[in-house]
Amino acid sequence: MNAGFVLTKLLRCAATLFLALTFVFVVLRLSGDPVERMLPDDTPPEVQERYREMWGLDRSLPEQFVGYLRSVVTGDLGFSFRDGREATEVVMERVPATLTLASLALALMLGVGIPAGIFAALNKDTWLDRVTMGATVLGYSVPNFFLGILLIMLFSMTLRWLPSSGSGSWQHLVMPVVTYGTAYAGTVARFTRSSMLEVLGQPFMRTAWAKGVRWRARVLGHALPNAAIPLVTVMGIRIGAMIGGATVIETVFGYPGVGSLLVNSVAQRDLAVVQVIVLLIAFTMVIVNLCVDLAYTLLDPRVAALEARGGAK
Amino acid sequence: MSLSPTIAEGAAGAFRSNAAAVLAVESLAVRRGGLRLVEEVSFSVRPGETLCLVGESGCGKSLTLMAMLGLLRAPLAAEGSVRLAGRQMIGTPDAALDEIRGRDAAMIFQNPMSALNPLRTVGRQIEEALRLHTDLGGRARRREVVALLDRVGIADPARRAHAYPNQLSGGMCQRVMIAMAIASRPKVLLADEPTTALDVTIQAQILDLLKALQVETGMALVFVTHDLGVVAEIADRVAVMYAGRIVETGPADALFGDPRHPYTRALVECQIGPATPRGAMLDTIEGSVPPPGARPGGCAFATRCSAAMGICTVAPPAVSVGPDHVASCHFAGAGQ
Ligand SMILES: Nc1ncnc2c1ncn2[C@@H]1O[C@H](COP(=O)(O)OP(=O)(O)OP(=O)(O)O)[C@@H](O)[C@H]1O
Ligand code: SF4
Ligand SMILES: [Mg+2]
Repeated sequence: MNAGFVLTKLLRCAATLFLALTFVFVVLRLSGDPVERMLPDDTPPEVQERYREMWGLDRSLPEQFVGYLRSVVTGDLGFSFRDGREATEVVMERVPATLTLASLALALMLGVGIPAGIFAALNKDTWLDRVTMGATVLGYSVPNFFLGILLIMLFSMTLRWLPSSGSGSWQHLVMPVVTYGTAYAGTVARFTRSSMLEVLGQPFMRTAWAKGVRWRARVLGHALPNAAIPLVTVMGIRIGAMIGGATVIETVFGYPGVGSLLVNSVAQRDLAVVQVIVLLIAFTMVIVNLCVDLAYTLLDPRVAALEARGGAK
Repeated sequence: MSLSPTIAEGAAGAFRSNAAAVLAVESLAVRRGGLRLVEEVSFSVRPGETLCLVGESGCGKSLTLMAMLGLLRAPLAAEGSVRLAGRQMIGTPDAALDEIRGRDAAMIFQNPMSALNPLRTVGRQIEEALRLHTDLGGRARRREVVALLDRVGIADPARRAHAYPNQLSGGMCQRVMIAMAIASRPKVLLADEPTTALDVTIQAQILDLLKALQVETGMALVFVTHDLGVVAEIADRVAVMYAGRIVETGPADALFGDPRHPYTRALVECQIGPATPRGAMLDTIEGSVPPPGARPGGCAFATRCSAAMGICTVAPPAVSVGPDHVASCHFAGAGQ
């Protein structure tokens, strides 16, 4: 991997981030006057004016934008309207819980989805394939909240094995992780299957067969790495979205992560907090995309060659 | 040639006495359910000999090669007998064939680029063949990889061993495929149109390389091609296929000098016509090959044969028309 290539990628990341920041700024300003929406309707105009001054809303838009960018860079993103603490602090204390949930769900998703996809591909058009693919349809057609509620009814209310909400112990994690993980395990399985089938039909797989490579080594050594390349892209997007928070899952299970914080903050118009979360999600997506791009060049010599030859596309 | 014709039981009959054959195919058929895509294919090849399998697109050449190495997947299935270096390939479990494939017989293909794994260096792919089929240790293998690349005419082999297939030209990839194929010194090399995708100068170089390797190692070569120019250059013997069957087989000079099957005759004629450049393809005969499901009863060539008569609705016998020379036509013995 050459330095020029990495540099181009980093520059593109920076550009994307800048766009995301601008977008957040524009959307939050377009969505109406925050002062009017946050203060009670009968607030006297002088008081409203004081607030505008305090939040810098009386200045021109370009001035506001520069001030906003400065505050993003310095991490000084204002205070939570609800409890008066710094918005970043309010969000950051939720991050570990979300990361725990997301990484466990991710492990489940890949750990179930990839083997299931390989299995289905190797048994293409047999009943094993059909049963596996049938299960994946269930996985992604049942809405998250519905599966969550079913699990709560069964394991919390009927069997009383698991707590229905909260966090703090592994028992609290079981149902959110299962719900979250299985939601996309089906998608992963389907994608793995089609990617595998495509590779299994490639001429180089026949070469390996004709060369005397055993079945296992052909599947794991030759087919899987090739099938993994398109998977990385899809997974990258998925992973980015997952780390950004699971609003539905966290809300259903009353799990104190970034996702449920976002829902609450929107409901209570805690704009500073909403802004921090949106920025956090944007950052995560951009960073994950960068990682995917870099992983690509490590995985696929063809991409590396392309980049080396013509610089970035 | 005016030897009196004798009717043999099958094309294989003419070669059955040949004990030295390293590859003997008898009554090979490839089926897909009730559909017979390849039928009654018989031939044998001796060490150091080159047999060319020619015929129009879709006549079953590739299926025949694949069947010989046990590379057919359901719903395709092979029947008959393929004895390779003394071992029966048909009916042997797939896992047991892994010992034979790449060791006693290796195969090269039409599109060398896509026949190599894009994610592995070519050196690693050759090394895999050495690991599977030789006792060499790691360091010796890597030395052998470089030697093999050097042998197939790749310049700067130590560096090229670290190249990925996409960094090499088609011709170089085919050289890599050949290096991989000869890594274990196979007794038989099966080549499925290995030069078709390459440009003419590279084609000639690859043919020269294969000939030289054959002299060096004494391996037998089964070479599938459309190109009668290539056949004339390398074949000791030729088998002409039409609609899933071998219709004529014999020594190259006899087959070119005295073709007995009307199909072969048409091929040879349109190949040597003044307007046809060397390397012209076989599709110059009027009409098209009937697909496997729609082959006429009797002689499959009858729909396009200018010599067809009433009797041609009866399957023609394999007629021995000279030493080692057999043609499946009712009139093959009539020496025109
Ligand atoms: N998997 C398959 N299922 C059904 N029919 C097949 C299959 N593979 C090949 N065939 C048919 O079998 C016949 C012979 O195919 P084959 O690939 O052996 O032809 P070929 O002589 O190698 O042609 P070409 O010169 O185009 O490579 C063709 O009619 C083809 O359509
Ligand atoms: S048997 Fe009849 S149809 Fe077939 S090639 Fe001979 S003459 Fe032609
Ligand atoms: Mg073919």
